[in-house]
Amino acid sequence: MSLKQLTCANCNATITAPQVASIVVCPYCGHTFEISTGKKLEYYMFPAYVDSASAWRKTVQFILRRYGVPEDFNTEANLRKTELYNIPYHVFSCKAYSSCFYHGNQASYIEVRNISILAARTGTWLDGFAEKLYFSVRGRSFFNPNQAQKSRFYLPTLDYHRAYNMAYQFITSQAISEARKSCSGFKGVDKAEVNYLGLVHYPLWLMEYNYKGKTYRVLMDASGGKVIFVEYPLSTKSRTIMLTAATIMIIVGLVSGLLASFISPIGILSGLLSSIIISSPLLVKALSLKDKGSETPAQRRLSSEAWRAVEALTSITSFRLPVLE
Amino acid sequence: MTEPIITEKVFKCSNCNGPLNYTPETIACVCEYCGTVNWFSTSRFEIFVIPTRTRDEVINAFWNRMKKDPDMGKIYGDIELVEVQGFYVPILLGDVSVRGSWVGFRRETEYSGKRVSTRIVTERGSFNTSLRLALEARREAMEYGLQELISQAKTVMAQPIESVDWKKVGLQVLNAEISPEEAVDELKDMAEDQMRDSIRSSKRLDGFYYYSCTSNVDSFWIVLAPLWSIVYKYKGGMYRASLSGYNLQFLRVSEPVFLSQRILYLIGSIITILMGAFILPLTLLSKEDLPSLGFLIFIISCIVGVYLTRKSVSDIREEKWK
Repeated sequence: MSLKQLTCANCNATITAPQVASIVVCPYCGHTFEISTGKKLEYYMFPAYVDSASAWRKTVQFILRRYGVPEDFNTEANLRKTELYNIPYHVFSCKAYSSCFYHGNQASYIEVRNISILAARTGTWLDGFAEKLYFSVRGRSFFNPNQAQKSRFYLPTLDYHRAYNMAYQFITSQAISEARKSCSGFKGVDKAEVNYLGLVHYPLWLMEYNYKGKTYRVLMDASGGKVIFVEYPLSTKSRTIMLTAATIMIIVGLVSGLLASFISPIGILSGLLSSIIISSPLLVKALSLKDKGSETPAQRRLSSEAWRAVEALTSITSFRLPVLE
Repeated sequence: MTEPIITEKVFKCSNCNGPLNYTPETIACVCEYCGTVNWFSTSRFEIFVIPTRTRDEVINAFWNRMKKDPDMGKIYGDIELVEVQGFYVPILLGDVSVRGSWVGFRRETEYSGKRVSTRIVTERGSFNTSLRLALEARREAMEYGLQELISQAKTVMAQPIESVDWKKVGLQVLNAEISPEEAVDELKDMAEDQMRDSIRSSKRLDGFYYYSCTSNVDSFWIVLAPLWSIVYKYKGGMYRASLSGYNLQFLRVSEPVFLSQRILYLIGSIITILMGAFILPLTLLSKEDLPSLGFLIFIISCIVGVYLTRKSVSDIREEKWK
């Protein structure tokens, strides 16, 4: 990977940054600036309130409450890898006014949103989750060199002008869709304001553990302490129970369908169909290799169109950045 | 020469000189030692506080609830308290007057013998009222029980910030992050949306031809509401509960699912299979034109069935405050 050398305007330290980085956070003093213009940007980070030991403990406690986890999980599961990732987001405060005409009447609407846009891709599976992340309610802080240096610290590859455009595009599309809900006439966006609030780094624990020769993945919110994604094994006993229950359900469906077919020939079909649909969650769970769970319900903050735009832009520069020494 | 490392900018309380939890977006910072509001912005809010019960009272309330709960009471002895944490969350409250008019439509289906017809009904109306709204004064934040706390904060009488004995409280106070200008815009946006949604649901409309709403924010203020979050363990598994520090109301609780409940869910889903199997043949048999209704019931019973099956292998049951 090609690197470039820069000088921090605040502390004069020499900073090494990857060629694709558009914004640099000085690893010594936290001074944040745009490389092309030297403009200073607002910066803050979420502290990793959860350390690596408690991250693993919380993960185990989360897994143990799930259904079908092997009884020896606590003793047999071994943490193999745990790493702190600091993921950058551009944060904007956005506002748009839309208006609509209907039979000579004009109505106007306001749409206000805070929008955070993922500013770099790690090239790992956590990206998909990072896109949908909600920030923790707990306090954020200024730059902390200790946390930055102990982590995989990603510098933004998505420059803030492009992020700005995406936020702009998103808030205007949001304003139009609000207007669509309210009015059937001719619609348009009158004005949109997008304010850049700064760059924020959010900490995530990425873990891998082994259980009886297989590797499983975990992603935890290191600020809020919640399990974002976890994979875990299912015991043979629980798989058998689920399969048996599913079989019983299908048999019930078949028998009742046969009885119902005395009324009308469609009975056998409706019985079979409903039993297969209704038992499907059990079948899927029992037959999957690893079960998955999450404590944070996935909520898309951006509409799907806006995300497609984000994906198109960030994939150009998808890149793993070096860890600060 | 390189300058010293700046890791934290230290700000001190104007009254007691205690360190403040100042963060880059802070607008107002309440000193955790004396309760003085330190401003970092020229435009200001009024800040009120909802007093909190003590940590011990929160812990007692937790144990009392578990003891009294018919399911949890049985495993009371196996529950272990892992973490109890409280903080003051800033909530933005506002009174907004809204005025406007609307023209909406509703699709109505009529069954007359074998014929099914749909007609579109137009309705219109106007409104002139006032709304009390609440939202979190932090950006893009999520916390277990936060939404419930926000709706509770709307109805609680908050007190002046000086009325709290800050030396005794010892809770982390999270800073408000929205500026007064943003607050006005957010409240207007929320008022518009809420009014539209309430008209839509109360008039059972399918959509609007026109909806216009002029909103005016009469007043707004910040309330610091105490949120307590509890983590407890049962058989190695971790569960959460969150309480309002104001009245020790449980905002959200997650509880383990017991074997007996799993079996009940499964029995429920078997009943939906029976419904699904019989409803289509029965409605086809009838002389009336009922198949569409039968098909609808078939789909509903499948959805309910899948929901119950999923519940039977889920890890928690959740209770929310309404």
